[in-house]
Amino acid sequence: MKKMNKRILSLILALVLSAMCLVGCGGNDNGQAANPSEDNTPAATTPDNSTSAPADSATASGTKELKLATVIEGAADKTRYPWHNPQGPEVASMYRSLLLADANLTDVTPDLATDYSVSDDGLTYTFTIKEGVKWSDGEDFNAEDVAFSIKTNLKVASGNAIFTNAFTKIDGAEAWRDGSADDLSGLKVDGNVVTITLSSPYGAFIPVIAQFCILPEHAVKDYDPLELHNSDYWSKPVTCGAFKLGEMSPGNYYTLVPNEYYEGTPWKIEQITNYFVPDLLVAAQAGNNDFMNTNIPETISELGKLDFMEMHPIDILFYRYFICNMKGVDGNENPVMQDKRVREAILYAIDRETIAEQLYPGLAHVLHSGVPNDYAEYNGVAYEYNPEKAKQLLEEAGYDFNHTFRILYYYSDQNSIDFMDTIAYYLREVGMKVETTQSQQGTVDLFQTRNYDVGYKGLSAFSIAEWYGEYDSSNANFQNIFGGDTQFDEGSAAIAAEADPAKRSEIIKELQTLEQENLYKLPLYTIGNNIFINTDHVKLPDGVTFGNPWYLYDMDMANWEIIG
Amino acid sequence: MLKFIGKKLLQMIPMLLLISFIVFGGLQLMDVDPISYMVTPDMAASAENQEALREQLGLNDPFVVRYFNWVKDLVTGDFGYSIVNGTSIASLLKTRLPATFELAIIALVLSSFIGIGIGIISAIRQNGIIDYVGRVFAVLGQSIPQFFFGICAIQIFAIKLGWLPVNGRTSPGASGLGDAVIHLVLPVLTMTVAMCAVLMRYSRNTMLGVLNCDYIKTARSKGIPEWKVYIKHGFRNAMRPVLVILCFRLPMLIGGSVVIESVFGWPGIGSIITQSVVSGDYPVIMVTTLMVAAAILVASFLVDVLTAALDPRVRLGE
Repeated sequence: MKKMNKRILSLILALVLSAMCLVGCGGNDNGQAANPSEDNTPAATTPDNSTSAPADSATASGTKELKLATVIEGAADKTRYPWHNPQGPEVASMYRSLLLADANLTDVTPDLATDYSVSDDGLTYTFTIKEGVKWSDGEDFNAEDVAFSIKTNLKVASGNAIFTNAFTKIDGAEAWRDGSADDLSGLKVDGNVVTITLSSPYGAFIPVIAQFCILPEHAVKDYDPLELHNSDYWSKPVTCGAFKLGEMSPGNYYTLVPNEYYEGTPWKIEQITNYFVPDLLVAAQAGNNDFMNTNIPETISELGKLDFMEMHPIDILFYRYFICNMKGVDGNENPVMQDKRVREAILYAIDRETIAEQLYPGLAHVLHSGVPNDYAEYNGVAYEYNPEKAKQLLEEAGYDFNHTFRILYYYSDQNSIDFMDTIAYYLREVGMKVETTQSQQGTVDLFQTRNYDVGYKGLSAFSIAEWYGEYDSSNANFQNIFGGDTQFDEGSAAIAAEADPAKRSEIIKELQTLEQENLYKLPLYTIGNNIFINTDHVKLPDGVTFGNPWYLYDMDMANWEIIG
Repeated sequence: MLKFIGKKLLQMIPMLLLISFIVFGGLQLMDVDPISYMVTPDMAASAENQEALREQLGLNDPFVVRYFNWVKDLVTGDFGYSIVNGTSIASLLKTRLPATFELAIIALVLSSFIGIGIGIISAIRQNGIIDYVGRVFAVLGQSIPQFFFGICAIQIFAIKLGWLPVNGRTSPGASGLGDAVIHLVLPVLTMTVAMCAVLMRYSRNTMLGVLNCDYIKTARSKGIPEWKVYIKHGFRNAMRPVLVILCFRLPMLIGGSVVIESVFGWPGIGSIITQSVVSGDYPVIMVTTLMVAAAILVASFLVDVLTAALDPRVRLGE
């Protein structure tokens, strides 16, 4: 009997521990999860049936602290490098550009420049630099910092292509970059005036300038531009925004504190803490992530269960598409993809509408070219799901059905993996043998190794011009798979140069037609995004509009209030 | 004894060189290009600048040249820099090792005391309540994966109850023992449960085996007090295999626990090793691998010494 009691006790203990595990894994679902697919309105949403924010330790200490989180990568001992994507509140609080964009990234207002002008031919830009601005170390900000930043950006190994595309249009940029010139001839500084002369017009130059954070020459000049993005400068940056680095605790967090030299209106936020975390969602659940963006359906669903996280849907040009491995600049062709009918067949073989509904509910919009279907320039050509037509095209093209069709992708999230499995399923349904491979080194495998037939890629485009810029024969990466085809060069140069909306529209239509005639890229979707704000902790001022979360724009952060 | 130690230490040098060469060679076979991690496809400013960076970092040099350059730098005390994020490896070790050491030493000490203690008591009081409870926890501790236990602990104690921090080692603006302790609780608990379970089972089984030996019966028949039989004759002999396990856990003090550090965002060496392997950051992989290899060799050496100390039949150097 005694032995039996002990066994029962053991069983109970085992059950209790198992129950604890199950409780822990049960998530926070107190009811029906908010379904993001039902919410397509741009207004902020707060789903019901959800959990409350955890206790707020920062408020208890009295500091009005905005909590942010970044996924741990590498040593996690640096602040964000603003010449990648100048994204998020931490960049907006630390760095400034000559101009400040609105949420659409098109209209600008003065920031570090008091005013600017553009010559009639669109080649000369003149900026008057604001006086009285200081860096966080007390040094004066001046026009030389602007010139230094642009010149340095031309020599970095890692930086956002929008800067490279714009700054290589400056007179003498190539010579400066390859070291054959000692200075950048198209960039002149005269007192507090910076004059930039372009070799050819670039329509998006002003919006790009509004994304370009100026760095202090005195603090950065000794760093090698090639390794600047990785340098320890980002562990101790000098800033001219409202905030500067407070404390850096490698692998844990860093804090941003008010910059006493900031000449603008002081912010209501008193401290920003950026936690290095293994998982952004868990950080949000714990109340340590007041602002985050995501386009991953599972994450959106989980965040929707937190009643303190308010969702702001964002419609952005984030393309997902296949690139066809056609031909290298060395002339090395991939015979499988040469017939356009094969490329067309792939689009007809895949039921993209169903995939969008199932895998990216409310987020993905099917594309038939680089022009989204709801744009006025869209010409109506559509590749609707038609497996019979796909089979017919493949047969007409003499496609070898014994060939193993190779799809390469570099995304590692579960949705992308599911997506690739689904694509493989559809292609098998039309008789193709398919193999999908996940790459650990996207750049090399897509553009150098080239051991694939189509590659799955994403592009968060600053504008449609960026999409069409990938076809340009001078594009360093894409020339390796499109064989340096020059068909698009005139159009891509024209769209890059043109600022007039009506003329841009005409150019886009022409590029769209050319794109559909060639189908080097197989457009799949644009995928929207959502910004989530912890409203138990942050009160946004009236009228704030959120835009592309990967870029810098006016979020009126000076008036964000920390509450609760 | 000194001769034995000297011989063992000398043997380590070629062993470490061999290990470093194998690891370096293995990394070549992986064909991972660190540049593609350092400069993602969307952020490649220009092909020319990328190529210049590759040349500057010596990544175009032949395998053997790169290996010997690395050994040369290491011998001169230069650990180099992480290729992927540019951080000095010396500073990486300086900031990460204390965190790993702190977590591992606490978990090791706690799990040793609890595991061995309960294991011994379970053996002495076989089929008693402590034995039953201990056996249940031992089975669960060994069968539940660490990451799963860790995630459960986070969900319960950090998110649902809000008692403990989700991750990290310290809080902003906080300094003091209290803050350090609350950050340690969950990772230490998770590590300790798994480590305890193994020790508990080993200690119990070996102690049971020892208690059934003839010399224990002899000791009892001689009228030696029971506690003395357990401690002097039983415990000492039962500890040998347990100590081997303990010694081979010492490298964890250097290498950290990849799973625990990743789940709890603990800023230690383990998480750095994982990320370096994925991104082909060979300078970091080489240094950390060598450190772990050296720690394993030291642990092996300690096992030899302890075994000899505990068992008079084993003689060092013979």
